[in-house]
Amino acid sequence: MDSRSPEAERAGPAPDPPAGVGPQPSGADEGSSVRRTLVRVIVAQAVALGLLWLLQAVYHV
Amino acid sequence: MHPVNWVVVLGYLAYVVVDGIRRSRNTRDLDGYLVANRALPWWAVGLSVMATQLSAVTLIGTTGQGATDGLRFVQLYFGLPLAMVILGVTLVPLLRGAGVYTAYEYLERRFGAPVRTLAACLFLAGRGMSCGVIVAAPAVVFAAVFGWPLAWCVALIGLPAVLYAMLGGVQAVTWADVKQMVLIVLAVTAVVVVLLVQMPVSPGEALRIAGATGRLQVFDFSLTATETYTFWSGLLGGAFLMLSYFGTDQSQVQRYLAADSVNAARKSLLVSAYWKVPLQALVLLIGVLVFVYYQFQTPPLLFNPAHEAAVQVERGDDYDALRQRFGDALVLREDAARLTADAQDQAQAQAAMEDFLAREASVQEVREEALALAEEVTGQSSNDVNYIVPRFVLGELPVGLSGLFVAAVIAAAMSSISSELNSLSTASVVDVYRRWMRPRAADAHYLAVSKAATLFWGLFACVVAMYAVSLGSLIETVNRFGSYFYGPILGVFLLALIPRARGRGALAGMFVAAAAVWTTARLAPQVSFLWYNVIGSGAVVLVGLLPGLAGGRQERRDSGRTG
Repeated sequence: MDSRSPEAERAGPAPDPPAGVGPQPSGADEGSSVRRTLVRVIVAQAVALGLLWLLQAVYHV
Repeated sequence: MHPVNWVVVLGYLAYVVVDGIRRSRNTRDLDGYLVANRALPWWAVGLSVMATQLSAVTLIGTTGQGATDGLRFVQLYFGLPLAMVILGVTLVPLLRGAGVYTAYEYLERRFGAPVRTLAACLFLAGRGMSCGVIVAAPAVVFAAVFGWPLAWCVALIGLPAVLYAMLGGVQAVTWADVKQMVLIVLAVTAVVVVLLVQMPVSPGEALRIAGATGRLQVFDFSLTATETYTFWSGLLGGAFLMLSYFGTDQSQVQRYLAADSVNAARKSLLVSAYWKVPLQALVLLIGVLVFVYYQFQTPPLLFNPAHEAAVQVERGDDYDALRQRFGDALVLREDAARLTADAQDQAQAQAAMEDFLAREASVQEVREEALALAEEVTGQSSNDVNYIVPRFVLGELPVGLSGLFVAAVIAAAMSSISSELNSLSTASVVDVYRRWMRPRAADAHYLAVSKAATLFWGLFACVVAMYAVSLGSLIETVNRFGSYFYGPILGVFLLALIPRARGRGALAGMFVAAAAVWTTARLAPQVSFLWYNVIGSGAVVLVGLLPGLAGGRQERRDSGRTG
């Protein structure tokens, strides 16, 4: 059942919060999120460079 | 070109323009036109970021570089993932939080109007010129390959991009970028697959031949500032170049300012962090495979058809003699290449490779003579690296696929041109026109001026393109243009992160940095341009923190009290 008031219904759906507004992660959360991202990027980069290294090691004379 | 290929190319052009005009209905105010109401999803922004960076220069120049120089150019991008993570932590939240339209707007809040205006003007000058080079790259090649006047080719590539960027603003540009990126990846992958299928030897044998000529050497760990592409210049110089480009160049900043949140903006940059190196390696691999393919098929002696025709007219006898020698050398090289591919053991492989390298040197010797003849006849640089892959695509690929690749080259050009026009227009209107000429006009007025500015910069780029033909290797030209301006601009943003830095120091630092980069380029031309960004940004930070130019402890306490 829709529990919104008639005024709210007339106004339409709630607007999205402005950019950057809303629940913000704490400093510790953000720090660990950055660390996770950094690890993922380093792993992906290591895989890409590893494959290029393999190509060079096998075929480059 | 076959009519089916033209249908593919013209179909693509018509679709992009019509879709751009359709998107223009959603851009009735300045916020929608410049930053898409800050509501675009991360994946669309991420693909737009990649499409903006990947221009036709990549598909024409980089593939050609792969054919002549191998994979080592990919080292330039080794610093990119690091740069993206740094930006995600520092500048992205700063610029998003400031709620600005341009990166330079933020500089006024931090350092005052002169710094903002100087940074915006450096961007406008550098990016305006490089936009012309980006139009010129495919236009010059198309003019030579199809035999059309250069002005037509410039118009074919430049005008549709101007049209949809002008009418639809950032929304049209971003959604066109998404489709263009898909088309580019599709075309690049299809060309690699077809090359492998059409190759007279197996993929392993093809790679052995490429390896014998050093084209699969990716890593160069030498510690020299004069070698352009090394692991260290790519990791450090490349990281600074990417920090400058993605963090302070409005053509990229505007992409993620349009994302729907700070996290979406960060994620959009990570798309490049994950995919740029593999994609660039794939693009270079096309060139390497084209080189191997031409071991077994007769390549043109001169890849630039305009030069070939001119030499045939002016010095027909000399050219025929060279072609005869070229043909003989190719036969011997093909035999040696087959022996290299078929070698059964290490000793056999070593002997075959030595023979192959000697034959390859003979082929290159004849090529050098032909290039010198072309230079003598035309009076132009005969470097034909940008024509290798276009000639291969039009001469050797199946009908339909060549059209797809030509469409991808135009798509790559348009995706960069439209984003740059969009950002040039935004910086012109927000940082110059609205800041200094008409500060309090209606939104509709700024919207109209933004559209006019897009048209102006589009026409400016087309005019520059007409004169950019004699600038040598186009990929390096674009990066060189950027490197003169990127260092000082990155430096001032780095300085903004240091609390005691002040406007006077930032301004002085920018002038000193520009002079330092210019002096390095003049007095030590052997220093790789990748280091210009390090020099420029380092100079701004050093000068900006000099006693007398930066604030002291007392001043910081005062500024803290006054907010």
